Order: sequence, then C-alpha cells, then structure tokens
Amino acid sequence: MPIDWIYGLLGGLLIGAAGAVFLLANGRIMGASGIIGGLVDGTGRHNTTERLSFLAALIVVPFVLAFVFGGAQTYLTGNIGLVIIGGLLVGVGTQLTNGCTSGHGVCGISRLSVRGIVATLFYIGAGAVTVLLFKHMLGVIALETYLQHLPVGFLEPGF
Amino acid sequence: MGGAIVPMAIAWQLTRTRAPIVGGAFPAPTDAENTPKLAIGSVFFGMGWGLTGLCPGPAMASLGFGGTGGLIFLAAMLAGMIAAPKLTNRLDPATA
Repeated sequence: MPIDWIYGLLGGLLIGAAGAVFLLANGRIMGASGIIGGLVDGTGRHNTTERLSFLAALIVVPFVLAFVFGGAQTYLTGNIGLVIIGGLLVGVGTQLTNGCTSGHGVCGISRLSVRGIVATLFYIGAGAVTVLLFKHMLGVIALETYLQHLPVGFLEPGF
Repeated sequence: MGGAIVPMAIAWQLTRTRAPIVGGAFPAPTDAENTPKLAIGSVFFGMGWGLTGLCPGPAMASLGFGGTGGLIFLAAMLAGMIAAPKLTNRLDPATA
C-alpha cells in the first residue's frame, strides 16, 4: 500500500516522542530489551516499578487500540521452530550487545553514539542477509498475518 | 526508525541544558566499550529479527493480539536473555 510509509513515519515519530519523554522525565534510555532484561537478570531491581509500568503500558495500549478498532496487524512466521530459534537469538543477542532497535537504533543513533551506530549496522545487516537467505533463496519463511486491519506503524516488521 | 530518531535527537539536545524531571543525571555516553560482544550480539539479534520479523519492543506491543506465536516468541526471548550471561562469560571473560 502506498500509504504504508506514512503510518510507519507516524509510528516512528510516536516512538521517538516516547523515548524523548522517557529521557527528559526519567533520565533514562528507552530500550525495550534493556527494560525487559533488567527484570530477567535482576539488575533492574532498584527500579522494578518503572520497568513494569513501561511494559504494562506497552502491552495494554496496543491491545486496547486493537480492541477498539476491531483488529491490528502483526507479522510473524507461522513456523514455530523458527519462532523459537528466532526468539532465542533475539534474547541472547540483545543482552550481549546491550540493546535493540529502541536502545541502539533510536536512542543511540540520535545521540551519534558509536556503539549505537555500529550495533545497528550489524543487526540490520544480519537481518537483511537472513531474510534474503531464508525467505528469498531457501523460501523457509512464510510471513503469516494475524488479524489484519489497523495500520499501526510500530507493528511493522523492520520496526 | 527514521521518524523516531528526530524527536529523540531533539531530546538529546535538550539534555545539554536540563536535568531529568525526576532528578538524577542523564546517562553518559559509553563509547569506550566497543567490545566484540557488541558486534556478535548484534549479529545474533539481527538473525533472530530476520527469521521472525520481531524485535523486543514490538514483541511486547503485539502480545495482546499476536496469538500463540507471539507468546512462544516471548518465552524463547526470555529464555535467551536468561542464558545470555553464561555465554557472555565464555565470549568475553574480561568484561563479564
């Protein structure tokens, strides 16, 4: 769809605005993997409330929007084996590299952090090679769309 | 991501002359630590992202309507996060 990029841009602006509020109000970097990771490994014990509030809103708001608008879309491969392997890789990878799209990509690049830029180049490169190999050459990944309707920019693959 | 960087860049500019509303200090840049961990972790993350189409933020955001696949992804991601420190010790004992 030709208007897809507008939703992507609007969603991106909202994510950036969220990161800006998190930084200016709480003085913290909004990184999804770091916020979750701190709960998992116990390093975030001193600000558990902040982490849980962030995650609760991140889950509840899209759910309410999807409910109100009668659906939402997300893309995920239907191959459960790949979902498990992919999830493990994302979990291990984001903890090793200390960030993901939000932390390294959004918060890191915007302050011209070398670490953020290097990490983003590596994960986008690895992601592109993986998609090229598994989807276009081997044809293993078939993206399944759940509950199509609501165009919510931040749910698109690639963000 | 391009759209998200714009408000964030403005926010970083504002941090030069302000303090966080709740007090404390803004996080300092950590550019000194460009360890192999950063590159290897990013490659792992990128591969998982490419395979599934999900990174941690959207994985959480789509939990409410993402179906069983979304829950399985989250469980695997949490397992990976728990396992990561053990891997870190082997990869990079000095900084673990």
